[in-house]
Amino acid sequence: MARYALLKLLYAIPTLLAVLVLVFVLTRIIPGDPAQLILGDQATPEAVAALRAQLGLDKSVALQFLDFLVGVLHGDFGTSIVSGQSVVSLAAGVLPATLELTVASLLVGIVFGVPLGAWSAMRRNRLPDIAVRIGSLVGLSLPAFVFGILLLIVFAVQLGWFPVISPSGEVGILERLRALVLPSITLGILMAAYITRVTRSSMLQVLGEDFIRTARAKGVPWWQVVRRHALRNAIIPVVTVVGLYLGVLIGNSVLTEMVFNRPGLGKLIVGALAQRDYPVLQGLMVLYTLLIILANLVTDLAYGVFNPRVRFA
Amino acid sequence: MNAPETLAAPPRAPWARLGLALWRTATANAATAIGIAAFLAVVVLAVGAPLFATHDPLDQDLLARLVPPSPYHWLGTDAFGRDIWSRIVYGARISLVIGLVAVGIAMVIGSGLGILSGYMGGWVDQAISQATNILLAFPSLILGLMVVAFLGPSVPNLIAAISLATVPQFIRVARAPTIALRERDFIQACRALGFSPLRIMLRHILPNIWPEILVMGSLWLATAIRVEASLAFIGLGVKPPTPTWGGMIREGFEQILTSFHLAVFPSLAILVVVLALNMIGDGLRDALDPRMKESGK
Repeated sequence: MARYALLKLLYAIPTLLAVLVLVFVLTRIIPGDPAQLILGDQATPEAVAALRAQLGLDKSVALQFLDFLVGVLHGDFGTSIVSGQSVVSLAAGVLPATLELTVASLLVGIVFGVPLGAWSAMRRNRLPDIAVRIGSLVGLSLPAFVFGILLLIVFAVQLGWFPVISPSGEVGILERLRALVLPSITLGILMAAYITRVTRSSMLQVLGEDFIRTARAKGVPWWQVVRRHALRNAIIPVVTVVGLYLGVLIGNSVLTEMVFNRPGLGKLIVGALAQRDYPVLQGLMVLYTLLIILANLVTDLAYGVFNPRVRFA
Repeated sequence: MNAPETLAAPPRAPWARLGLALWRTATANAATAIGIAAFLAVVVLAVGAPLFATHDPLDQDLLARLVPPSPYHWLGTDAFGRDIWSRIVYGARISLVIGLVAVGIAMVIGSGLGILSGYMGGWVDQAISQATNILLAFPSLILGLMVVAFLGPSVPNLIAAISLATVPQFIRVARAPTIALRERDFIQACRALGFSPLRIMLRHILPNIWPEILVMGSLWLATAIRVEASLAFIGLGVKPPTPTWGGMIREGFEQILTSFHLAVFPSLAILVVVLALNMIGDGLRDALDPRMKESGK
């Protein structure tokens, strides 16, 4: 298992390097001079030159890339030109909020997705199956902000059950959870839709296997066959899918945070976009990349736990 | 899965296969029929936008701001007194053009690279597969956000960003069947006859994997439209006052407490198109996937 984990970790390095190159290239092909863009048209040439020096833009491209790489390796992701704070401290301040949302949505996805998918498979082509299939397709088609807005209108604005804007600052745990309900459903519904579909097709495949028939034939009760034999095998592809879509989840958290005005990495990105805070944008993208690679790594490891066959492959 | 196929005759002509699959799913599967009808309706609306719009989408009527739906303004007006129905109809053009062109480009480049990768094998395959895996690690929204944030929001940049995010999907979907086809007798025969690799890839492999690529295309067109709307909602869409669905929702969101029709109607428009495309893609995939047929669908 340790060897397997180490191997996966090694594979992540080229990905990370490639992404760093991509982010670096993207930030350098902005049309025009970034210093000029940041300061605006009215800036004096001296101010532009000073900022260029501060951003390291007066060095050669190769040196700039080296600086960037060394910085990232030392955990220095840049400094905001608006607030003067480092990207790491900015991100650290809001990371718990984003993680809280992501984990809650993942739970929503699993809690709804796995049972619905299994149920749908067992009632194949009957009413529950058709309803679940249509439901999951709708869930898949709803952009996070569309569903978020619809939920907000119905449950926060019309019914007033949940706060319209997430409370900021120190609030009780109950208030915090109440504010988390709508955002995590918004984000979780996408996950639930994916998980339902994969669980269904994986379950259908497993239910047709010989060992299921054998278990039935030797008199194991149906619900036990489902729980101990079918579901346990059907869950393996689900783990892969959860991992694949963790990235999608992190991406869509940007939209969810915007709709519910929650603090988080997404809000940080949108703020940096509005203020043309390029160093923050660049730093956050590297950070997002790290998060996604980390998520993929965790998936690979979880896959090894759920499917012992992989560990020895 | 390959073994019995190797003995069979080369498959039916690809267009006939796709047409047959479309027809079969549309008649057997109500969801696909509804999807095709809904998507065609949106295309007709977008193409004939000047005919279907009741107002000029940019015309501001400051005396009729935030009007709720009425016989004169079918879906009401926005904060500038612009007619929402007309803006949705014109907005469909942006969504469809960006989605279709981006997915079209990704389809051509992606399936080209995928076939090349699968047919050539060796280091070509290694290099292309590695690059694909790296791009696949990125959710399309984040990749799109990165590219557009730095290049600036314009139609060509949005198309480039969405294409980049979509290309690896087509590489993957084209590569796998190419590897399976490479060993088939009729491809071996082509090689024995001395056909050039380019001719084999274009004339003999491409036609056989075309339907799968088109299924992927319809599913990713749905994603492309969703990503474009999401970027517009974040503020990285085509610049106002050009009507885009995501941009309209963004503007409508500011009035959410008082006039929620502003955000609701463009939201429904996005839902209809994306759902329709997903229904078509889903139905087609089931029809083309031999495993689904065997299991007695």
